[in-house]
Amino acid sequence: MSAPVIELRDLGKRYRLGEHHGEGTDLRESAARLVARMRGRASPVRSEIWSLRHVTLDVCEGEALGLVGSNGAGKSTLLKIISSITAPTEGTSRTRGRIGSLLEVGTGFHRELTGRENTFLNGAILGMSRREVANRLDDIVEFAGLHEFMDTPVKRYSSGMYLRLGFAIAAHLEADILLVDEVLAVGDSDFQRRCLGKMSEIGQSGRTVVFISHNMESVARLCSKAVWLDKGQVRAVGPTAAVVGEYTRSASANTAQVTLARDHSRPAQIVSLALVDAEGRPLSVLNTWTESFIQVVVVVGEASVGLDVGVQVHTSSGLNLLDEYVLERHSTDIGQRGTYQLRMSLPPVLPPGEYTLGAWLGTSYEEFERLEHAVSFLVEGSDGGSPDRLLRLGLPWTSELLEPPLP
Amino acid sequence: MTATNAADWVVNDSERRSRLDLQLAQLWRHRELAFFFALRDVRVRYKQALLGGAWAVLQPLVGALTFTIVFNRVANIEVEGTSYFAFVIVGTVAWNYVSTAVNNGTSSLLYNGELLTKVSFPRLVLPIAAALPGLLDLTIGLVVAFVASLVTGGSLSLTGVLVALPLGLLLLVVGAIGPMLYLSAKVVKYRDVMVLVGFGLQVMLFLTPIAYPVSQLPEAWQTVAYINPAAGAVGLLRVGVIDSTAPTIGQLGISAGVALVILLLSLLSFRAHEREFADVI
Repeated sequence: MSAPVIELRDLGKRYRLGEHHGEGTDLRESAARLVARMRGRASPVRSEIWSLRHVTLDVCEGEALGLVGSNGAGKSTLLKIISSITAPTEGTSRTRGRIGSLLEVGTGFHRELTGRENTFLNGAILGMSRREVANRLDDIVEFAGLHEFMDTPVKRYSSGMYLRLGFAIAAHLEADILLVDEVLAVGDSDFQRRCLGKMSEIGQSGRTVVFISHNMESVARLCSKAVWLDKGQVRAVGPTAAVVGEYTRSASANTAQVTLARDHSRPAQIVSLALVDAEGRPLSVLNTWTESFIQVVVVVGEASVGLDVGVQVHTSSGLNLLDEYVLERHSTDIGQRGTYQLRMSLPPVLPPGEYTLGAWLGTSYEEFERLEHAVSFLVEGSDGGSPDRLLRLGLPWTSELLEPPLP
Repeated sequence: MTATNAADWVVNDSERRSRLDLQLAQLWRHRELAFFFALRDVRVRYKQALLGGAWAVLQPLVGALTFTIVFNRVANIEVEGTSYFAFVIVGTVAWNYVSTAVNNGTSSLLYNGELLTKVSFPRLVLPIAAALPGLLDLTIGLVVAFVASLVTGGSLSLTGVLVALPLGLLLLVVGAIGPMLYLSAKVVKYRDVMVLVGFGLQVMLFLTPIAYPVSQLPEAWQTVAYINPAAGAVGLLRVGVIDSTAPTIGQLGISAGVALVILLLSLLSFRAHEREFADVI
């Protein structure tokens, strides 16, 4: 393994709430605090939060590290400390080599300046010399696809053009260590794909990349190693697949299933409905590339002929995508007394988005139970360039050369 | 990528750096950035401006005309050797530079707050860059003063142009950057400092010998006036541009000394606070 280029030792960052944020940034309040202190009274108690605590981590040269965790887990704060934008409250961060931090695309653009002027300005802000920018200008313009617009003030740009130029400049930054915060979540899907391509190119060129994303698919694609931050602390470090898996499973701990109390007066009943992984652990976040299962547990108190179970998946806009029944596949007879666990495999066909899961229990004549939109879940990942489709089936293709090229 | 050795580790920890380490080398490495910030401000000012560069000529002329009517015609203040009009142009353009630089410099960190929280670069670049665009107007203004002086029968001294003029410019810039560094760091935390700066500059306009020569002050106050670095700077600029009588070496020493002490103290104060900017702003 190559030498570490980022060394974090017992890093902690504390923010005081209320003192420097919002009110309190004027002399009057400071004077009030001073007076209170002189009179021997404690200044008003402030609440404090540790945005990061006890973070120890090494990132080696050439490594692509993914940072995952829910909002407020301290991911951005960590990048800000690594790039020396802010100082830690305790601990040490040491870095070796030139750092390019891309915490936001197009920071420092001025509306009145043209695309070209902003390219030089933004390049300088990110740490590039005038000559470096001049050398890469053609590549930058090419990547952003803004040939005709380089002499137009950016205030006339669409937000997409603005972001494209911002990313293009940053992507051509010659940095040894690149820190990227969720920038891929912007722009149209075609541009997102190109950004991802550029990112993996950078990763393969031997540079060190630390990448924050909520998109587990990009993390899995770009990073060999991942860190899961939870409430400012490192919950897991290791190979991306393992860490991302652990993170997505825990993210679900809150809602992923409904459990209903057994009601003995009823002949048959659903006692649990959940979305689970292959090992039966409940999920609330799926990704677009692994299989998951819809699991229903049914208790049958009185044998009933033709008992059937159905599950439904709705999109967040209420469209019914799936409505599948056990008896459609004549798989098992669940009409006899007993407790049954039924699992339906859900291949990775759902595009990213929010969905709800429902279930139904009954016979052709009678409805015993209907749970509508009982469980909600999220699918994360890339929409593959087609944001509007309802399903991503990946159906088989064949190809055949009909006419060879003319000689 | 260039090979790096162990000495190149950049450390970010909770310890305060040595207070005497001003890290001026780091600032020098980022001189291009200061230049680009300054260029941005100049370009933005002239975008969609009808008269463009003509303002740099009109502004001092109109200002000087006002002073001439009030102080020369109404209050009967006279200067020796040259016309009051040329005399007051030098003062006006010099003071315009100081007041614009201190105003823009003080608000520079606040104005670029977004950058402070998103990108890492030496924070000192921002206030220093804010002191640069004014030099353009200052240069044009001094040329206007020089022409006005020659037209109204003034003279020119070669040593004045070669020695007093550059020294005067240096003193003016150093004198403006000092307080501006201190104030810019304060504004990050206390917004009302901006208001104080407005008041302060208004008072200083009259305490600085802009519209009157120092020789008009009571004898006892003539040296005291030079505690204000701008007084020494304006004195030197007048020697250079309109060949007026030079302040004494002692008086200039006071101005320069005060300017340097303020600059050093402000730099130390800025360095002590800059690591908190991103959290406080």
